Amino acid sequence: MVVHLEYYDVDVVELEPLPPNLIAIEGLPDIGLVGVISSFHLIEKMHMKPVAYFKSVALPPIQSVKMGIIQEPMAAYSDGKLLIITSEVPVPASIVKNLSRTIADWLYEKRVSFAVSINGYPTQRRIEIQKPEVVGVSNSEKGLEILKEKGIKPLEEGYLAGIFAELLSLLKDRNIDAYAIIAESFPTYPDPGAAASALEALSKLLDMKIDVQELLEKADEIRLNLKDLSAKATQNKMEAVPSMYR
Amino acid sequence: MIDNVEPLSEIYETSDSYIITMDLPFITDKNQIEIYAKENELEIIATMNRKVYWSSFEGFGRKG
Repeated sequence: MVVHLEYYDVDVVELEPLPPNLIAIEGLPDIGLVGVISSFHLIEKMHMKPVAYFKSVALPPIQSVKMGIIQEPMAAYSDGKLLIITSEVPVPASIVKNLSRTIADWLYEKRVSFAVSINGYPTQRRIEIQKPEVVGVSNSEKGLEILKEKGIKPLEEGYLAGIFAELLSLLKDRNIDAYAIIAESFPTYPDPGAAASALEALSKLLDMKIDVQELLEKADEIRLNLKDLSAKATQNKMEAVPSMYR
Repeated sequence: MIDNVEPLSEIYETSDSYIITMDLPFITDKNQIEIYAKENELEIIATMNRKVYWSSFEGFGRKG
């Protein structure tokens, strides 16, 4: 069956001016929602506020409500040091390419110092793993050396698929160093344990303390709240990403 | 308040078995899980160890 996929534009709406040299963190819905869980943990712990949001006609007609005010579900948050891009709604397959390009162009325009994507990689035997392993990928030789220096094991060989893969490449084109931190994760369930491992690796990379204890304590609540988003993110990923022959 | 939550689940088929995994938040003890195998059906009931106050309807979700 031939599936014709429409590609839709994505716009960024800024809520306030941003300083240069922010560290961008991408945590959009993907395997195990590792990026989403990590992002919202950082946003909450560091009292970040929304600084921009992403609009596309392909996004579902949903608005979050916080303290009586709508809050765009796909947004960027900042505390003046980090710039976190995440979403409370799944990313439709029809905007993956354009969203990646929009984010890359925006990060270039905002002159971020570097970018980090947080992701999960599906592990069938995850239930037997107490502490998920994390691997790192960079888009430059210099970045690879930094990963090693910080004690993050590089992914020796394999392939990446999804927005973060596209972003690594697009940011390389724009001379922005970018990393992906990828934790072993349940393939289709929200995985706060994987997010905790990913955040520990992020804390090494950024030289900043990130407390993950609360994340682990709230793991059941997080898994329940993110059940539907996880199911939809898995389905969208399968639609958007082809297999690779090696 | 949620009365029933359908868990995320995966089913694998091997040469001689079906392997079913489910994500069961707020289930900490095997005794909270009841399994009923029928002829063409497997019913699994798990009672969460705390109440969850989250109402979700078509197009509207309310917390608290």
